[in-house]
Amino acid sequence: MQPGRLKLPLLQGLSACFALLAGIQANAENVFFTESDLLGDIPSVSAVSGFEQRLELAPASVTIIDRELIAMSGAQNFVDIFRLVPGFQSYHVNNNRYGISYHGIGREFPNQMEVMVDGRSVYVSIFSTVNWGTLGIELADIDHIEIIRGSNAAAQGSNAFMGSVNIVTRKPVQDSGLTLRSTLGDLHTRNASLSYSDRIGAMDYRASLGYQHNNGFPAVPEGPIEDGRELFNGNVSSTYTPNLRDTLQLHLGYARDRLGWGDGSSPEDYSPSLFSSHFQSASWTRSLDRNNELELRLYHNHFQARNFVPLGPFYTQLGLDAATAAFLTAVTPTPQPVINLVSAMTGLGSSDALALIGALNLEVSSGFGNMKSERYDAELKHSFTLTPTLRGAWGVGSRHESFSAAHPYGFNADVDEDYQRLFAHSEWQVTGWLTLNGGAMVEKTFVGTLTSPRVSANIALNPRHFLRFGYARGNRAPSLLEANENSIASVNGLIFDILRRSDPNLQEEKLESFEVAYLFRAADPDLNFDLRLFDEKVTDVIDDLREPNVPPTSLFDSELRRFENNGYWHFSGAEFQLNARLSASTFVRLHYTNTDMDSRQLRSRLPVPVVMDRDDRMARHNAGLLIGQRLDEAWSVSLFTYYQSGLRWEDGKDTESFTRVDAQLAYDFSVANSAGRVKLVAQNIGSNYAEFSPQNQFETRLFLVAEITFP
Amino acid sequence: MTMASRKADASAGRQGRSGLLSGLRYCLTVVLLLAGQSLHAATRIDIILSAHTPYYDELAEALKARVSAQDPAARVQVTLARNLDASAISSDRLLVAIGTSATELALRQFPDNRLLSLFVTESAWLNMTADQPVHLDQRAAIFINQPLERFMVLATLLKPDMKILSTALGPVSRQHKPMLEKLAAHHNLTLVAEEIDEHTNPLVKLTPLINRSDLFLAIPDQGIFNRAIARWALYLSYKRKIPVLGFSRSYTQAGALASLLTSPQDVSRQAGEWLERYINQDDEALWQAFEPHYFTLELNLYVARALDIPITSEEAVYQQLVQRLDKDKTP
Repeated sequence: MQPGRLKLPLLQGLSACFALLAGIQANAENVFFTESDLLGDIPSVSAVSGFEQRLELAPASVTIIDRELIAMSGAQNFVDIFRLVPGFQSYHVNNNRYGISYHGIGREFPNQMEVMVDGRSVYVSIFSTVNWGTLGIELADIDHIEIIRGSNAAAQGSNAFMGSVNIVTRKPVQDSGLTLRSTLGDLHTRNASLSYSDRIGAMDYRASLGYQHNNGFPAVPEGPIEDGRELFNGNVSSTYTPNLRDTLQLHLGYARDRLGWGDGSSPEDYSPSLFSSHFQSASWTRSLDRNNELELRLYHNHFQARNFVPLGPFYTQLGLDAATAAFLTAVTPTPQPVINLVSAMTGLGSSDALALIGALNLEVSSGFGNMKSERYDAELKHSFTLTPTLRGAWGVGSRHESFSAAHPYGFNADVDEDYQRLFAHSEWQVTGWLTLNGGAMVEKTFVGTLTSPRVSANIALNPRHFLRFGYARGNRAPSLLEANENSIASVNGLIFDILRRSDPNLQEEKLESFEVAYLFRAADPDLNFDLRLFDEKVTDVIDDLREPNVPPTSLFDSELRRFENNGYWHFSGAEFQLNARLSASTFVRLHYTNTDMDSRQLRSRLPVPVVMDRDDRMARHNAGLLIGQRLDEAWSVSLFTYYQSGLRWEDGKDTESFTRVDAQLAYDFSVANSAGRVKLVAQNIGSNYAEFSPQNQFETRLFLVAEITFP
Repeated sequence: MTMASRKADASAGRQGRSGLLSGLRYCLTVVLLLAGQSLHAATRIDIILSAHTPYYDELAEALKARVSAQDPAARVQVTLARNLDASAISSDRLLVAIGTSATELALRQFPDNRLLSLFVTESAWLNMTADQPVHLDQRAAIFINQPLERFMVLATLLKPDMKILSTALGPVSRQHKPMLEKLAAHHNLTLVAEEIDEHTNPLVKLTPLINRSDLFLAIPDQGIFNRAIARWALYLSYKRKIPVLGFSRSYTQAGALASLLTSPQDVSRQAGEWLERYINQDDEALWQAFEPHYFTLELNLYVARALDIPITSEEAVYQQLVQRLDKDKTP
């Protein structure tokens, strides 16, 4: 489908909505202001329900990781950042490939959490996950991260099945001048970035460029592994406010990431891969009156991944030596006795045996080949306040997604789908102590129309203590890859191996979640505590079923994997986070999660059904303690300790529990009008530990980080 | 009675008044109440709510309790504006309208009744009564918006070295410019103000304004103006480490250093005192519009730390502000 196909109905819908809402604006003119103007809300967090909401009134648990916290923690990448958040598993699949999930099993490609950058989904349908290297932004571009702990499908749709993350970047008006940053350190880390903020005419803009280089995890006993990275990225964002009612924002970005890709347990199989992406995003916000706001958001994401692993002549893959291959291909056309011989050896028919002989000397390759995905998305949202106690948001959206895969000896596909969505959420302050939240997302997908509702009752016990009882149901449509995968090995038109195929009857995954939460807020000392007790059942989990390969496709492997709705996961447990600013110079953040997982998965159906559990695929405990202390005007120190219990990684290997201690010493300085900071960061002070695979040995890492801003 | 005394004592402490005065006032009230009861027939008050909101409901309940405490025979009825039965209200009853729409309805449907309007802004009150010049001697209001003088004093208290104060004025608040200039001059400050209307680019106006000032004062106006100014002023001021003073709790929560506001408890307290006077003496001085006598201070200690503004505690700042305001009043 061409992108143009979605334009007409979408524009018609938008026109109708604007016409409808224009009436609101026409009635809004007064020459005075009232108590509603005076008491009206000033923007705060909006990622939970799509409208601005105080955390204690929101229908889900929220963690806000702000810029200051990121800087204090010494985080060098997204894995480090999400270790600050309860309930998250955050890990290095390879040094520069990250797996980040909320209440999910430790997969190579965690697929049940939505990640957005300024409201733009960066979930990649090719891999059914987020490719953190090609977001097109630097950590320094982040203002804060809004993390919804618990299903947010009701607000953000399918991909936010278990939770959602919105990375909010710095607005151009928040910075000015030129900022330079550099990080040097272990693993041959050489990172540099710059950002520049200024104004052209009436438009504020911010431009950012970044470069990252490192060599990845250290060599293993078998030798060095190709685990490094060379990443370039850049983005430009701009804000234009032509008048008091309208705000236009544009964001463009590009990233190119060359990195090692491999299985930590097979160091010899690492191969270079290249990922690139670009995006264009535009949003227009219009305040219709004090009670109504309209937002139109349009964006396009392009993502491309390339990975070819040369395997040499095809005969080597069949276990033949050069002499045998030469013998079989010596005479052209191939004599019938040779065909019969190959036929007898492989079980292939004569014509297939002939094709096989013809392919013996071909230089073949493996890898995922050349994959591309595109996403066009448009959303119109209306936020409203009906009465001082009733407000909400509703909206419509349309998305076009496509992906293609091309490999001369592997997976080839060209798929596209359209999705439409309708959502509505409201917050009703029934009394001074009781607030009810309700909302739902209805999505039209290729597996049918999915409805994901969520309700909560928020109770203010007093101005400091709050309770929340929540219930949510989520539905997750399979990703384009999950629904269309057909990973094969073929040469000369012959399929010699089937690696993974999708079940043609694949359906949505389903979630039912109950939660009870307690929040405590105090102003002096500044302290907030957030406890969440959860019970989440996921049914029809999409997972691999192993089944025998049907002859004649069994030259390489005796089994294939089929994506099916064959799993059941049940998570129950508790998690909490505590932020305490004990004094002007001391900050403490503590979090802990205890998760009990009960699961079943149909591993294979033949010859007899085999059901196994995945209970050990997620860490039972994880915890973090960050202490930041300002010593004086210039010096500050921080210490972050993170603990994770041992687990058996899905797609990885068993790793033992570990405790990692990071420390940071920072020095702030100013020269003339310029302000800067130099930091020494030490990660994992202590003995090595393994990430995702025993081969991924995390040694002590030292980094020197410098930053200076010229206003 | 014990509770009432405790409350009165606590309030008096917060206002810096002596316990002796409170005691005298209490005795006087009791005496007047007894006298009043002998003079008046049972007081009948209709409280009209603009809507059911925590603010309005809380205020209505507090007033009801207060009137009952003063005059056990009083009959107080609370009704939602849209459910009001006009025929059931005689013209001798006192109407207490809570919120603008209740006030609007009371003025329109019950022009002959005496009216106390609560939770209204000065701007809305003047607008509503401009069309009804008659019976102004039977109208009273307690405004919700705090006087500008208090913001000015708070600003100098939080940033004593301040020289330049900036503000943005909208379609309604622009009328306060002369008053602001006068107040600024009184406090030896230079005021830089920009008038911003619907067609103005807020960032273009606000950026130079905030960049050249030591503190930004948000003046309340219409909702659209307030939201836009808050959004951009907070970004710009935080970048320049310039504090913002706001006028609502949500302003402080969003990143203002402090806000001065009238809470439902503040309105309740002043309205309760007004009703006491009404029940007991009904003097002519009651029938006028009043500035809010009490106020609530909301401080954002996180912002204070980020801006290196030393604040010991919210209570300490509150007490300093009360003292400064009292001192300024002293001739």
